[in-house]
Amino acid sequence: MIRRAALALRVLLGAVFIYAAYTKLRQSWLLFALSIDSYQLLPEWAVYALARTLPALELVLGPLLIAGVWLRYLSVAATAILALFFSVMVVSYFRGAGIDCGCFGVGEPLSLKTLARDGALLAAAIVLVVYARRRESKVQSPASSV
Amino acid sequence: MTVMRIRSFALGVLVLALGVAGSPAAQTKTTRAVGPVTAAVRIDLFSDFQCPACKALHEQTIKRVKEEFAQTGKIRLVHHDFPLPQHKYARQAAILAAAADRLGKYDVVADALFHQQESWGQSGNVDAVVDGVLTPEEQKKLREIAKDPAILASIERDIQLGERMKVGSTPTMIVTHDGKPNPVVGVVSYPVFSKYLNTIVGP
Repeated sequence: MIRRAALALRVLLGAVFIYAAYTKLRQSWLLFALSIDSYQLLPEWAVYALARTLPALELVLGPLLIAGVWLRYLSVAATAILALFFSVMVVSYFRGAGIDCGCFGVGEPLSLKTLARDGALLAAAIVLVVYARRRESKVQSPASSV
Repeated sequence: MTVMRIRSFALGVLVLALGVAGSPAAQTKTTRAVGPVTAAVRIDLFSDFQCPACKALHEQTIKRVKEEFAQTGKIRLVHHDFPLPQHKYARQAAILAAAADRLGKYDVVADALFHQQESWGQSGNVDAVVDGVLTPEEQKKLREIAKDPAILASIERDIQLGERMKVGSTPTMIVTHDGKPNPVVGVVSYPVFSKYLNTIVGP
Protein backbone atom coordinates (compact mmCIF):
# COMPACT_ATOMS: atom_id res chain seq x y z
CA MET A 1 0.00 0.00 0.00
CA ILE A 2 2.73 2.46 1.01
CA ARG A 3 4.82 1.43 -1.99
CA ARG A 4 1.88 2.07 -4.30
CA ALA A 5 1.25 5.47 -2.75
CA ALA A 6 4.94 6.34 -3.13
CA LEU A 7 4.83 5.22 -6.77
CA ALA A 8 1.79 7.45 -7.35
CA LEU A 9 3.59 10.42 -5.79
CA ARG A 10 6.72 9.77 -7.87
CA VAL A 11 4.69 9.61 -11.09
CA LEU A 12 2.71 12.72 -10.13
CA LEU A 13 5.79 14.80 -9.30
CA GLY A 14 7.73 13.47 -12.28
CA ALA A 15 4.88 14.26 -14.67
CA VAL A 16 4.51 17.76 -13.23
CA PHE A 17 8.24 18.45 -13.68
CA ILE A 18 8.16 17.13 -17.27
CA TYR A 19 5.09 19.20 -18.12
CA ALA A 20 6.59 22.31 -16.49
CA ALA A 21 9.76 21.85 -18.56
CA TYR A 22 7.75 21.29 -21.75
CA THR A 23 5.69 24.48 -21.31
CA LYS A 24 8.85 26.52 -20.76
CA LEU A 25 10.89 24.96 -23.56
CA ARG A 26 8.20 25.35 -26.24
CA GLN A 27 8.33 29.14 -25.93
CA SER A 28 11.21 31.63 -26.08
CA TRP A 29 13.42 31.21 -23.01
CA LEU A 30 13.30 34.99 -22.66
CA LEU A 31 9.56 34.85 -21.93
CA PHE A 32 10.38 32.64 -18.97
CA ALA A 33 13.18 35.07 -18.07
CA LEU A 34 10.56 37.85 -18.01
CA SER A 35 8.39 35.79 -15.65
CA ILE A 36 11.36 35.34 -13.31
CA ASP A 37 12.28 39.02 -13.67
CA SER A 38 8.78 40.10 -12.67
CA TYR A 39 9.35 38.61 -9.20
CA GLN A 40 11.99 41.37 -8.80
CA LEU A 41 14.20 39.24 -6.59
CA LEU A 42 17.20 38.42 -8.75
CA PRO A 43 19.85 40.42 -10.59
CA GLU A 44 19.84 40.31 -14.38
CA TRP A 45 22.59 37.67 -14.74
CA ALA A 46 20.79 35.34 -12.30
CA VAL A 47 17.50 35.80 -14.17
CA TYR A 48 19.16 34.61 -17.39
CA ALA A 49 21.01 31.78 -15.68
CA LEU A 50 17.84 30.47 -14.03
CA ALA A 51 15.75 30.83 -17.20
CA ARG A 52 18.36 28.84 -19.14
CA THR A 53 18.92 26.04 -16.62
CA LEU A 54 15.67 25.46 -14.74
CA PRO A 55 13.66 23.87 -17.61
CA ALA A 56 16.56 21.49 -18.35
CA LEU A 57 16.79 20.58 -14.67
CA GLU A 58 13.05 19.88 -14.55
CA LEU A 59 13.32 17.78 -17.69
CA VAL A 60 16.04 15.61 -16.14
CA LEU A 61 14.41 15.39 -12.72
CA GLY A 62 10.97 14.35 -14.00
CA PRO A 63 11.84 11.07 -15.74
CA LEU A 64 14.32 10.10 -13.00
CA LEU A 65 11.64 10.55 -10.33
CA ILE A 66 9.24 8.38 -12.32
CA ALA A 67 11.94 5.75 -12.78
CA GLY A 68 12.61 5.83 -9.04
CA VAL A 69 16.40 5.90 -9.28
CA TRP A 70 18.50 7.68 -6.64
CA LEU A 71 15.20 8.44 -4.94
CA ARG A 72 16.82 9.46 -1.66
CA TYR A 73 18.74 12.28 -3.36
CA LEU A 74 16.26 13.20 -6.08
CA SER A 75 13.35 13.50 -3.66
CA VAL A 76 15.46 15.97 -1.66
CA ALA A 77 16.31 17.87 -4.86
CA ALA A 78 12.62 18.02 -5.84
CA THR A 79 11.70 19.20 -2.33
CA ALA A 80 14.39 21.89 -2.41
CA ILE A 81 13.22 23.21 -5.81
CA LEU A 82 9.54 23.19 -4.82
CA ALA A 83 10.31 24.79 -1.44
CA LEU A 84 12.19 27.56 -3.24
CA PHE A 85 9.30 28.13 -5.67
CA PHE A 86 6.74 28.04 -2.87
CA SER A 87 8.55 30.51 -0.61
CA VAL A 88 9.15 32.96 -3.46
CA MET A 89 5.51 32.69 -4.55
CA VAL A 90 4.19 33.20 -1.01
CA VAL A 91 6.38 36.28 -0.47
CA SER A 92 5.37 37.78 -3.84
CA TYR A 93 1.69 37.02 -3.37
CA PHE A 94 1.49 38.64 0.05
CA ARG A 95 3.60 41.56 -1.17
CA GLY A 96 0.70 42.19 -3.56
CA ALA A 97 2.67 41.68 -6.76
CA GLY A 98 0.12 41.08 -9.50
CA ILE A 99 2.39 38.89 -11.59
CA ASP A 100 2.41 35.65 -13.52
CA CYS A 101 3.27 32.49 -11.63
CA GLY A 102 5.63 31.39 -14.41
CA CYS A 103 5.09 27.78 -13.29
CA PHE A 104 3.81 26.44 -16.61
CA GLY A 105 4.84 29.00 -19.20
CA VAL A 106 3.14 32.39 -19.46
CA GLY A 107 -0.44 33.42 -18.80
CA GLU A 108 -1.16 31.99 -15.36
CA PRO A 109 -1.52 34.63 -12.66
CA LEU A 110 -0.03 34.11 -9.21
CA SER A 111 -3.04 33.34 -7.03
CA LEU A 112 -4.20 31.39 -3.99
CA LYS A 113 -4.93 28.53 -6.41
CA THR A 114 -1.33 28.41 -7.64
CA LEU A 115 -0.08 28.67 -4.05
CA ALA A 116 -2.30 25.76 -2.97
CA ARG A 117 -1.14 23.69 -5.93
CA ASP A 118 2.54 24.37 -5.26
CA GLY A 119 2.05 23.74 -1.55
CA ALA A 120 0.43 20.37 -2.29
CA LEU A 121 3.32 19.42 -4.59
CA LEU A 122 5.81 20.44 -1.90
CA ALA A 123 3.96 18.28 0.65
CA ALA A 124 4.06 15.35 -1.79
CA ALA A 125 7.81 15.80 -2.25
CA ILE A 126 8.37 15.89 1.53
CA VAL A 127 6.37 12.65 1.92
CA LEU A 128 8.59 11.12 -0.76
CA VAL A 129 11.75 12.19 1.13
CA VAL A 130 10.44 10.52 4.31
CA TYR A 131 9.48 7.38 2.38
CA ALA A 132 12.91 7.16 0.68
CA ARG A 133 14.75 7.54 4.00
CA ARG A 134 12.63 4.91 5.74
CA ARG A 135 13.05 2.51 2.85
CA GLU A 136 16.79 2.96 2.92
CA SER A 137 17.04 2.52 6.69
CA LYS A 138 14.99 -0.71 6.40
CA VAL A 139 17.34 -2.01 3.73
CA GLN A 140 20.42 -1.09 5.80
CA SER A 141 19.23 -2.21 9.27
CA PRO A 142 19.71 -6.05 8.82
CA ALA A 143 23.29 -5.54 7.64
CA SER A 144 24.20 -3.14 10.49
CA SER A 145 22.86 -5.58 13.13
CA VAL A 146 25.31 -8.29 11.97
CA MET B 1 -17.49 38.08 -63.35
CA THR B 2 -19.54 39.97 -60.76
CA VAL B 3 -17.95 37.91 -57.97
CA MET B 4 -14.50 38.83 -59.29
CA ARG B 5 -15.45 42.51 -59.37
CA ILE B 6 -16.70 42.36 -55.80
CA ARG B 7 -13.50 40.60 -54.70
CA SER B 8 -11.32 43.17 -56.48
CA PHE B 9 -13.32 45.99 -54.91
CA ALA B 10 -13.04 44.44 -51.44
CA LEU B 11 -9.30 43.95 -51.86
CA GLY B 12 -8.93 47.53 -53.03
CA VAL B 13 -10.82 48.84 -50.00
CA LEU B 14 -8.64 46.70 -47.70
CA VAL B 15 -5.40 47.94 -49.29
CA LEU B 16 -6.64 51.52 -49.08
CA ALA B 17 -7.60 51.06 -45.44
CA LEU B 18 -4.21 49.60 -44.60
CA GLY B 19 -2.50 52.38 -46.50
CA VAL B 20 -4.37 55.09 -44.63
CA ALA B 21 -3.82 53.36 -41.28
CA GLY B 22 -0.12 53.08 -41.97
CA SER B 23 0.32 56.67 -43.09
CA PRO B 24 2.04 59.21 -40.84
CA ALA B 25 -1.25 61.10 -40.51
CA ALA B 26 -2.92 58.04 -39.02
CA GLN B 27 -0.03 57.55 -36.63
CA THR B 28 -0.20 61.05 -35.21
CA LYS B 29 -3.93 60.83 -34.41
CA THR B 30 -3.16 59.74 -30.89
CA THR B 31 -0.08 59.87 -28.71
CA ARG B 32 -1.25 56.83 -26.77
CA ALA B 33 -0.28 54.69 -29.73
CA VAL B 34 3.31 55.03 -30.90
CA GLY B 35 4.96 53.28 -33.83
CA PRO B 36 3.75 52.13 -37.23
CA VAL B 37 0.56 50.05 -37.43
CA THR B 38 2.43 47.76 -39.80
CA ALA B 39 5.11 46.91 -37.21
CA ALA B 40 5.72 43.17 -36.80
CA VAL B 41 5.43 43.46 -33.03
CA ARG B 42 2.57 45.14 -31.19
CA ILE B 43 2.45 45.77 -27.46
CA ASP B 44 -0.90 46.48 -25.82
CA LEU B 45 -0.17 47.93 -22.40
CA PHE B 46 -3.00 47.84 -19.84
CA SER B 47 -2.24 50.21 -17.04
CA ASP B 48 -3.80 52.03 -14.07
CA PHE B 49 -2.48 55.48 -13.11
CA GLN B 50 -2.94 54.78 -9.39
CA CYS B 51 -1.15 51.42 -9.35
CA PRO B 52 2.42 51.59 -7.94
CA ALA B 53 3.63 48.72 -10.15
CA CYS B 54 2.34 50.60 -13.23
CA LYS B 55 4.34 53.65 -12.15
CA ALA B 56 7.47 51.50 -11.78
CA LEU B 57 6.98 49.87 -15.19
CA HIS B 58 6.26 53.24 -16.83
CA GLU B 59 9.32 54.94 -15.38
CA GLN B 60 11.82 52.08 -15.56
CA THR B 61 10.85 50.33 -18.77
CA ILE B 62 8.08 51.79 -20.92
CA LYS B 63 9.67 55.21 -21.47
CA ARG B 64 12.81 53.56 -22.88
CA VAL B 65 10.81 51.02 -24.90
CA LYS B 66 8.90 53.91 -26.43
CA GLU B 67 12.09 55.79 -27.30
CA GLU B 68 14.17 52.90 -28.54
CA PHE B 69 11.61 50.60 -30.12
CA ALA B 70 8.32 52.43 -30.82
CA GLN B 71 9.64 55.80 -31.96
CA THR B 72 12.21 54.08 -34.18
CA GLY B 73 9.41 52.15 -35.88
CA LYS B 74 10.40 48.69 -34.66
CA ILE B 75 7.21 48.07 -32.68
CA ARG B 76 3.79 49.57 -32.11
CA LEU B 77 3.06 50.42 -28.50
CA VAL B 78 -0.55 51.11 -27.53
CA HIS B 79 -1.55 52.35 -24.07
CA HIS B 80 -4.91 51.19 -22.73
CA ASP B 81 -6.59 52.39 -19.57
CA PHE B 82 -7.48 49.70 -17.10
CA PRO B 83 -8.48 51.54 -13.89
CA LEU B 84 -9.00 49.03 -11.10
CA PRO B 85 -12.09 49.40 -8.88
CA GLN B 86 -10.01 49.45 -5.68
CA HIS B 87 -8.19 52.58 -6.85
CA LYS B 88 -10.53 55.44 -5.98
CA TYR B 89 -9.09 58.11 -8.30
CA ALA B 90 -7.76 55.94 -11.13
CA ARG B 91 -10.77 56.45 -13.38
CA GLN B 92 -10.64 60.23 -12.97
CA ALA B 93 -6.95 60.17 -13.83
CA ALA B 94 -7.67 58.03 -16.89
CA ILE B 95 -10.36 60.48 -18.05
CA LEU B 96 -8.00 63.44 -17.78
CA ALA B 97 -5.19 61.57 -19.56
CA ALA B 98 -7.56 60.53 -22.35
CA ALA B 99 -8.71 64.13 -22.68
CA ALA B 100 -5.08 65.29 -22.73
CA ASP B 101 -4.48 62.87 -25.60
CA ARG B 102 -6.84 64.93 -27.75
CA LEU B 103 -4.65 67.96 -27.06
CA GLY B 104 -1.56 65.95 -28.00
CA LYS B 105 -0.43 66.08 -24.38
CA TYR B 106 -0.91 62.49 -23.29
CA ASP B 107 2.77 61.82 -22.61
CA VAL B 108 3.24 64.95 -20.49
CA VAL B 109 0.10 64.29 -18.45
CA ALA B 110 0.80 60.56 -18.04
CA ASP B 111 4.36 61.30 -16.88
CA ALA B 112 3.07 63.81 -14.32
CA LEU B 113 0.33 61.49 -13.06
CA PHE B 114 2.77 58.65 -12.51
CA HIS B 115 5.46 60.91 -11.06
CA GLN B 116 3.10 62.43 -8.46
CA GLN B 117 1.01 59.29 -7.95
CA GLU B 118 1.59 59.13 -4.22
CA SER B 119 0.31 62.65 -3.55
CA TRP B 120 -2.87 62.65 -5.66
CA GLY B 121 -3.49 58.99 -4.74
CA GLN B 122 -3.96 60.19 -1.16
CA SER B 123 -5.50 63.63 -1.65
CA GLY B 124 -7.58 62.84 -4.73
CA ASN B 125 -6.52 66.13 -6.25
CA VAL B 126 -5.84 64.79 -9.73
CA ASP B 127 -6.76 68.07 -11.45
CA ALA B 128 -3.97 69.97 -9.71
CA VAL B 129 -1.36 67.55 -11.05
CA VAL B 130 -2.71 67.79 -14.59
CA ASP B 131 -3.04 71.58 -14.41
CA GLY B 132 0.58 71.79 -13.35
CA VAL B 133 1.79 70.65 -16.76
CA LEU B 134 -0.70 72.52 -18.96
CA THR B 135 -1.13 76.17 -19.93
CA PRO B 136 -4.29 77.94 -18.65
CA GLU B 137 -5.77 77.71 -22.15
CA GLU B 138 -5.05 73.98 -22.35
CA GLN B 139 -6.55 73.47 -18.90
CA LYS B 140 -9.78 75.11 -20.07
CA LYS B 141 -9.92 72.97 -23.21
CA LEU B 142 -9.15 69.84 -21.21
CA ARG B 143 -12.09 70.46 -18.87
CA GLU B 144 -14.41 70.71 -21.86
CA ILE B 145 -13.03 67.59 -23.54
CA ALA B 146 -13.20 65.61 -20.29
CA LYS B 147 -16.99 66.17 -20.22
CA ASP B 148 -17.37 64.47 -23.61
CA PRO B 149 -19.11 61.10 -23.05
CA ALA B 150 -16.85 59.66 -25.78
CA ILE B 151 -13.89 59.93 -23.40
CA LEU B 152 -15.53 57.75 -20.76
CA ALA B 153 -16.73 55.42 -23.50
CA SER B 154 -13.14 54.99 -24.76
CA ILE B 155 -12.04 53.99 -21.25
CA GLU B 156 -14.89 51.49 -21.00
CA ARG B 157 -13.82 50.07 -24.37
CA ASP B 158 -10.25 49.69 -23.09
CA ILE B 159 -11.52 47.85 -19.99
CA GLN B 160 -13.67 45.56 -22.12
CA LEU B 161 -10.74 44.89 -24.45
CA GLY B 162 -8.56 44.05 -21.44
CA GLU B 163 -11.18 41.65 -20.13
CA ARG B 164 -11.40 39.97 -23.54
CA MET B 165 -7.59 39.67 -23.52
CA LYS B 166 -7.83 38.10 -20.04
CA VAL B 167 -6.05 40.93 -18.25
CA GLY B 168 -6.35 40.14 -14.55
CA SER B 169 -4.00 42.69 -13.02
CA THR B 170 -2.01 45.79 -13.89
CA PRO B 171 0.36 46.37 -15.46
CA THR B 172 -0.10 43.78 -18.19
CA MET B 173 1.53 43.94 -21.60
CA ILE B 174 0.21 41.75 -24.38
CA VAL B 175 3.07 41.31 -26.83
CA THR B 176 1.73 40.13 -30.17
CA HIS B 177 4.17 38.72 -32.70
CA ASP B 178 3.34 36.47 -35.67
CA GLY B 179 -0.30 36.68 -34.59
CA LYS B 180 0.48 35.05 -31.24
CA PRO B 181 -0.25 37.09 -28.10
CA ASN B 182 2.07 36.63 -25.10
CA PRO B 183 1.14 38.26 -21.80
CA VAL B 184 3.92 39.89 -19.79
CA VAL B 185 2.52 40.64 -16.34
CA GLY B 186 3.97 42.91 -13.68
CA VAL B 187 7.10 45.01 -13.57
CA VAL B 188 9.88 43.79 -15.83
CA SER B 189 13.23 45.48 -16.18
CA TYR B 190 14.28 47.21 -19.38
CA PRO B 191 17.42 45.08 -20.00
CA VAL B 192 15.49 41.79 -19.92
CA PHE B 193 12.47 43.12 -21.83
CA SER B 194 14.59 44.79 -24.52
CA LYS B 195 16.58 41.58 -24.98
CA TYR B 196 13.30 39.75 -25.60
CA LEU B 197 12.07 42.46 -27.99
CA ASN B 198 15.33 42.38 -29.94
CA THR B 199 14.88 38.67 -30.59
CA ILE B 200 11.41 39.17 -32.07
CA VAL B 201 11.67 42.47 -33.93
CA GLY B 202 14.44 41.20 -36.16
CA PRO B 203 17.28 43.25 -37.66
